[in-house]
Amino acid sequence: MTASPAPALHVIAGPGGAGGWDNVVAEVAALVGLEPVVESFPAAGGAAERAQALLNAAATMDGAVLVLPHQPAGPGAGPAAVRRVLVPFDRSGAESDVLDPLIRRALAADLAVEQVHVLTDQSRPAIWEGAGHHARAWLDELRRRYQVGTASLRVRAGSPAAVLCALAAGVDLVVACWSGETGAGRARVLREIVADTPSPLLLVRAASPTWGAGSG
Amino acid sequence: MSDATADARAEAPSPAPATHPTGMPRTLPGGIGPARAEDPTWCLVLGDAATGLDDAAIGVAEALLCLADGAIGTRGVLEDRPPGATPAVLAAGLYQEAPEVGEALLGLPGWCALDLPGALPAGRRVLDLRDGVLTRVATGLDGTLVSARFACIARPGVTVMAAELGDWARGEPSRTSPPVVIRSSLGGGAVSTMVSTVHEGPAPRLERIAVTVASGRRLPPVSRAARRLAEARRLGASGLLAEQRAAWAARWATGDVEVVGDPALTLAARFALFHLRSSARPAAEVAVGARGLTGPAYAGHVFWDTDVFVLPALAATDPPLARALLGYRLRRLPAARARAAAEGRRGARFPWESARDGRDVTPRRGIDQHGETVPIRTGDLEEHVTADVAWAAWTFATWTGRWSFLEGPGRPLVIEPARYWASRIRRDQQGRAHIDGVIGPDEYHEGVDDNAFTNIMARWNLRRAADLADRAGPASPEAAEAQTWRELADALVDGYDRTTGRYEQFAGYFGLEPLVAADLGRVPCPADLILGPARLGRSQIVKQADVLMAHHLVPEEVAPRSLEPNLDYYLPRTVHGSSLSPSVHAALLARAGRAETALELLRLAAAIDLEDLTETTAGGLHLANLGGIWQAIATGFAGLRPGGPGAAALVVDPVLPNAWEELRLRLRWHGRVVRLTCRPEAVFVGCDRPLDVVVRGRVARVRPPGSWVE
Repeated sequence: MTASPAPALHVIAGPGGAGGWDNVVAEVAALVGLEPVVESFPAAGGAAERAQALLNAAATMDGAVLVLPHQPAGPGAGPAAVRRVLVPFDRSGAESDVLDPLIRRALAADLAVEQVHVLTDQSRPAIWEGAGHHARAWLDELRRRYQVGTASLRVRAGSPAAVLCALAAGVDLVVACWSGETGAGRARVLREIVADTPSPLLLVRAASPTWGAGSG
Repeated sequence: MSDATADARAEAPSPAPATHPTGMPRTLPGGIGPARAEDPTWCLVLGDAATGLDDAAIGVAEALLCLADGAIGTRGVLEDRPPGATPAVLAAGLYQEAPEVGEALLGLPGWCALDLPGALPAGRRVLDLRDGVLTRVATGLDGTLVSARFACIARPGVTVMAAELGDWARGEPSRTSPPVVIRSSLGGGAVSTMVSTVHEGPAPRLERIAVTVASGRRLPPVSRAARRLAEARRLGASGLLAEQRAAWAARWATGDVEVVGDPALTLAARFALFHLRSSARPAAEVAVGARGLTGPAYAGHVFWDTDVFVLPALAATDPPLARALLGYRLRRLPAARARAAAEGRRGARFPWESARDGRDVTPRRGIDQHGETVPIRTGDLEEHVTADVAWAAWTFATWTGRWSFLEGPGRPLVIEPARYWASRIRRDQQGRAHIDGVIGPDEYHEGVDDNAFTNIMARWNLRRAADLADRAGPASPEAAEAQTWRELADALVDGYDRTTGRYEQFAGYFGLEPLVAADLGRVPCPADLILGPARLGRSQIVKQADVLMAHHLVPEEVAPRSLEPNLDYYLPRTVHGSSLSPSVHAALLARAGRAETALELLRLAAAIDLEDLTETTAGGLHLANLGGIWQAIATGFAGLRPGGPGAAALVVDPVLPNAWEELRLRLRWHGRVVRLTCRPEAVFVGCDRPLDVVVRGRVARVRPPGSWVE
């Protein structure tokens, strides 16, 4: 496999290739404004090994990377079109520069965008004064800082990978911001999502490392 | 002790260089007055790398930099940013109907907006606590904006701004904006008006004076706003600034904290006092909500935060402001009586959350962190607020020496709650008295019986009411009830175990799952997010001081020498899931002689808003925590409390951490201005009139100007 020299939408498909996902690839390419390039990617090893290898490869690619589910493809295997988009965010701040414009473009294209934040041990507020007024104030501020346009925003708790994979089952596309770093302690959650997500996953690179060991 | 007044005199305008080393001009924009040199113990600086506040934290900065005068609060909004969802201006006591929370503070028109060319960064902003002047220096492509603004504490409702930005203002017409009238759906409303004046010259400058008059009862007449604007204009921005500086200097002269050797903590303490005193004004009543006038969170509702956490600091620094807080409760006695009657009780039951007219406005449903609807039971069950109001009235009298308040207008604030408790208490067959089905300060446990704090506070309330009845003599209306109150107080169970020295937080608490805070992670931690409310309710994890809150508020009502065993037991079980918690524990740890641990918790309390530990500071400052910071320092580390015969002497019993060289306090006590310098080996007591003190157990009479008490 070789990295394309120019920024592109690199499409990484399962063993059966990208066939059946044509509509999705075309719509995502329009969303990110990049030409799609289908990358050949060997499907050796188990899901975890494949996910790690896939991220290692994605880290070398300029532009964005669209990971199609690791499942046999064929006519009618993928959604006919992208209608619902899930955008997890970890409140690191730097991701907003990348995700916000993308979300605005998705909203302009009449896509239903749901932003989701998964509370983890690292991302919980130090002091939580309880349901009611405090929770309302906290959610108000979270929305003020991170909600983009008419996108919906919700908060979930639990294992980020498990929560996001479960939510991914109900959408046509997951958009994740990542640092492009795959070394020890990096991209742990993303590896699990790549291995388990039932939906296409669009990886966009943050300007600075954001999708790291904490929640990403 | 730095002297704000002397400092003001010392800071004469300097012709050169034109700026301070920080880049702040030496003259405020518009030449309205000299800009003072920054002092790290007086100036909150945002925009430096050290603050870590990025643009996303703009709401936090707005709350931290709020300017208020007890009537009107203006958040620290940027002049050139469009108004956001958070209202920039709020008025004390002016509520409107609001979905889900019943009543909420009404957002009023902003007055700070400037139509500037081009975009500007937030820049460097400095809130000078000495005079309440907020300055901003921001450089963009079109030049450098320098602005200054303040809320006139001597003229509540009057606000002033001056700004310069190259030639931006040149040729702009001066204009008076027509009055804007805002009506509340609940009655009352506000009128805002302002005048902007452009002064031409080498550096054209804009001066703006704005007036907002508001009332929660009836819409003020437009003429009132116009008259106040005319009065303010006669003084002009320069005159108003001079008045402002004199007013704040007078405040700091009678209420200040300085921790010599710890400038950051000194700044945090002064920041607390600044916002506490900005939240109230001398008036017949002031509604001080949980976030004051610094933001809309908690809907502006008034909780026990005001009575127990905010009031003591005001009683000891600005008694008229504390009196205004009590005026709010006094005027809502009819609603409290009506609620007690509706529930088949006597006396008065104050609501957990109060707003315009004193009816309970606690939402019965709220949302959790997921936005899911959950029941809220505090409005029905968190009854200790009724005794807390009585405690506030008593505290005001003991710190000011104004017993006439308790024998006169404030009397019902103690008597009526006692009547409520007397009708609320259940007697069992053995004659013991109980209070069933409540929520204590530890809100992780709902619907508990015999919550120690609630029972101890009710007992204290009954005894103090009986004391008042006794003082009034046998002809007093309460004379016949006093004996019953004392009997009930004596019969109230409190869960105290003589063998261990511990109080059981409520009946059955010791049998709960024996978790400690360390089991959940590093403290503070959000236990309800980790365990969930159901398991949390079955565990011994405590949200905030509960048993220990009784030791903090009414040490005379708990068993002698019971502080340490209860600190040892409950502190490890406490996760500080409330902004009210760290400061109280800091105070108690200091009283127990554990100064270093106390200091850790005081620093935690100081960081709650300055570092946004709750991630809700954007919705407003946690006023109760700010009051708690003062209490931790004054009643904890300095060991101040009423004492001696008739509680007429000021007890000073300092416990200082190793890092502190001195702790200096200015406060009011029984009509006197007191200056304390606490050192490990001695205490200096300064006063303007003779004063009885008890310093580390030694009784002394100090005469002006003061003396060291070894």
